[in-house]
Amino acid sequence: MVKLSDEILNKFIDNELNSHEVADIKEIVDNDSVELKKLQAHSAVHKILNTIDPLPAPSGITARVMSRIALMSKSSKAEDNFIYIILSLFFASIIAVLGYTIFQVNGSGESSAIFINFNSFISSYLAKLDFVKSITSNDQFLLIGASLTFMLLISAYYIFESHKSFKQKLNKNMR
Amino acid sequence: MKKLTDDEIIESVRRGNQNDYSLLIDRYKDRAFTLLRSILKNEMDAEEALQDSFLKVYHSLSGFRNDAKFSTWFYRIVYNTGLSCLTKKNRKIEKEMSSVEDHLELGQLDDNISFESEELKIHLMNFIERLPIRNALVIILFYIDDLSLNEISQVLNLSLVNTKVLLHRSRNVLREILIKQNYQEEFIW
Repeated sequence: MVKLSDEILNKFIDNELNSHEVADIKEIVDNDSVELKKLQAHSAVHKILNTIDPLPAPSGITARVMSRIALMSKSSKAEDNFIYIILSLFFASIIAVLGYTIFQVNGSGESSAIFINFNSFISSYLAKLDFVKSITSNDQFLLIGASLTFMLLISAYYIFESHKSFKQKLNKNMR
Repeated sequence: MKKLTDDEIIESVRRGNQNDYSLLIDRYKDRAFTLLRSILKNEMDAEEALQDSFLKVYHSLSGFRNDAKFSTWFYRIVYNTGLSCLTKKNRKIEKEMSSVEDHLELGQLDDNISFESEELKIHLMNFIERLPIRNALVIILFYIDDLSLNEISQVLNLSLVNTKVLLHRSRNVLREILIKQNYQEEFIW
């Protein structure tokens, strides 16, 4: 007695058999009730699976996802602002350090002149290029520069850490 | 009113109409939930993974290339999110790899199956959920999500041949279950 293989049954369901092969199957199932039952069950599975509906998602899921998206957009803007503020503070500190250094090197009288007349500052500054040499040999300047750099690095580290914890807090709130 | 296509909705979201994304959620939430339920076997985990999937999709929309089909790309993200959740929850991942033949005894779990078509659908859905993950997914993606075998192979990252074999084996198992339940139906020529 010829048996219907799983492969043939699947090909039959997927319409991958030619008319001769379909006729052969018909002949087999006409003469064998076990094979008939097998084919019926196989077709039934295919038929029922075609009518199965997806499970309904929990109600309100759309609103929940959309509110999370809105929250994330808001916090991402806040995060951007935070970065801009930090960067501004950092650059302001650098400018302040540079200004202080110039003031120290040129003496108080000359540094006031710098702010009064920028052009005269440039010319006097260029004329005094030699002071660069003296900077490297000036221990006091090096000490001040090193201390300020160290303070800036420490500040940058704390700013970075606080930004990291802020970001983690935001992510936690969004969950 | 004209129903917007997936690509039109995506384009609108990309232009800044954030609220249009809700159209995509409404369109795919049930099918994605069914998929995640079959991976995580738990309603609460599936809901959490569903939200994460939609957020991931939203944030990745800028990277979506329109030459690909959105549904394939979307289900791939859903599938990967489901697997990540499964790993996080320390579920037995080997269940995914278990042999589909191990599940033949599923049909013996319930002796009182009615063969009214609606009830049969529910029972069959229960059986599908108890199949190994990939077998269940291939059935859901093929029959519920109407994906082609080629698209399913992309979602599951399998070869086309393996995907076809998975589908056939899953159907065979479900058939065996029906036979064991002494299912009868009119012949369908």
